[in-house]
Amino acid sequence: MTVGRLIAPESDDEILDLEPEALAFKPVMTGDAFVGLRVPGEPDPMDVMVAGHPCTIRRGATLVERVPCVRLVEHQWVPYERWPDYDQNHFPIPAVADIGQGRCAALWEWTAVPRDELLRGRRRVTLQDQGIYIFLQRLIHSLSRFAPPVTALKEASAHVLAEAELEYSWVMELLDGDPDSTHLTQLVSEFDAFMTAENRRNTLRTDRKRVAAEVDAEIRRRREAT
Amino acid sequence: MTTVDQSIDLFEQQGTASEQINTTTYAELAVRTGKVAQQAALLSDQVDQTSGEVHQLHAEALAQALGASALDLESEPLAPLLTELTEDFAFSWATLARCIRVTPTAVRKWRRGDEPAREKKQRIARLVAFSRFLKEIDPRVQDVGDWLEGLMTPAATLTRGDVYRIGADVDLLRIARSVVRVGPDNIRPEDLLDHYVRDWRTKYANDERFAVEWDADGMPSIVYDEDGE
Repeated sequence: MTVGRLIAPESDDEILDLEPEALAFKPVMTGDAFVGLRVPGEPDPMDVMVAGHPCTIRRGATLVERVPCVRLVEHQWVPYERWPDYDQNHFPIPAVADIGQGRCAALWEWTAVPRDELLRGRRRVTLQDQGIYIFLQRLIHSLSRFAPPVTALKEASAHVLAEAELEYSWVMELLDGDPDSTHLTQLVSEFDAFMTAENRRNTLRTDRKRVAAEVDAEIRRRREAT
Repeated sequence: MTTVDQSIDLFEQQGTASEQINTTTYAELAVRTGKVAQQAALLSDQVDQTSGEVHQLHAEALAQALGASALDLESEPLAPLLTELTEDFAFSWATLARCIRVTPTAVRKWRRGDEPAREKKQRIARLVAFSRFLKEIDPRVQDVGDWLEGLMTPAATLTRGDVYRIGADVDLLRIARSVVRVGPDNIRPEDLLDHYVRDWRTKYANDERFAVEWDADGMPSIVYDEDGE
């Protein structure tokens, strides 16, 4: 049986999105790194990376109550070209991220983090879609020694990532204030209701263009109304 | 001499004469054939060379036209260019960002009024020019964004967007043209991958037997189908 090889990223720019706006406004997603979280049963604050698949950590626009994460540990950096065949049980985090040198997500060290701890103000890393596929492939491989083809991971995540992209636009364009404020919670809730209405969430699977246009039009309408 | 003997004699005489004639003709023919074969080989070489030159000229003409169009677009305001990409050509922010090698957040910031660096504006203009050319070459391509998200070949996990990203825009247009008409500059996706990503067969091998199915709970599952159907 032929299976995919572990993928080597080209560069930081291909997998990371560390822009302040991304850290503040993107919905919490697989591969996000958070620091200083209080987790029940842990004596000290923890640094973690969200590890659950995009489909399993969200119910619509809401995070599940306890989010599967892996611990961030101190570990050597691995150059990208070595990622397919070296140190396969870690997801190294480039130094350009604001969490210090030589940090990696330890793909075997699991914990469940209460969703209220995953505040945007504590987020230090978000991944682009390609980064999420590479993270998931590495995670699955570390647990099972099986590297699923990236195309399959992409297809299975596409609808959730497309919705996350629309939610990001919604929040970025309409939020007025602190990313962890109640206004953000309200905006996300309104986005959720908008996607549920007229069967948009399901339509997104087959007609992303139409739903994206409707979301854009609604954002414009709301901005003009204020 | 009987009639039969006469007939045999005549046959032998004719046979001998025929052999003599044939021997002469074959010798001449062999020389002529050799010359013709030589001429054919020369012509074939010339045709190959001309075909290669035509191939190269087609590619250069396309590259020049794409470059000129991109240069024109570069002076246009940014907002309509981004709108054209996302609304007319159906690019998602993620695909757009990947093609021009920036983060999706950077694209969002430009849309809100931030000015990109000149080099990045050039990339946006070129992507708009590419999208217009592609629609012109193959009007069946409804959404250029979706087209770029498609696989180069079922044998590889690389998308057309991945290949665009590494600077193969002109060759992608030639592939699109190869689909709609036969010409001297036709190229196959596999040839293009061989050129740009030499180890793609091992590094980015795809396995079509993995597919996604939707379960009764509305969630996707990755399934394995031995027949790859």
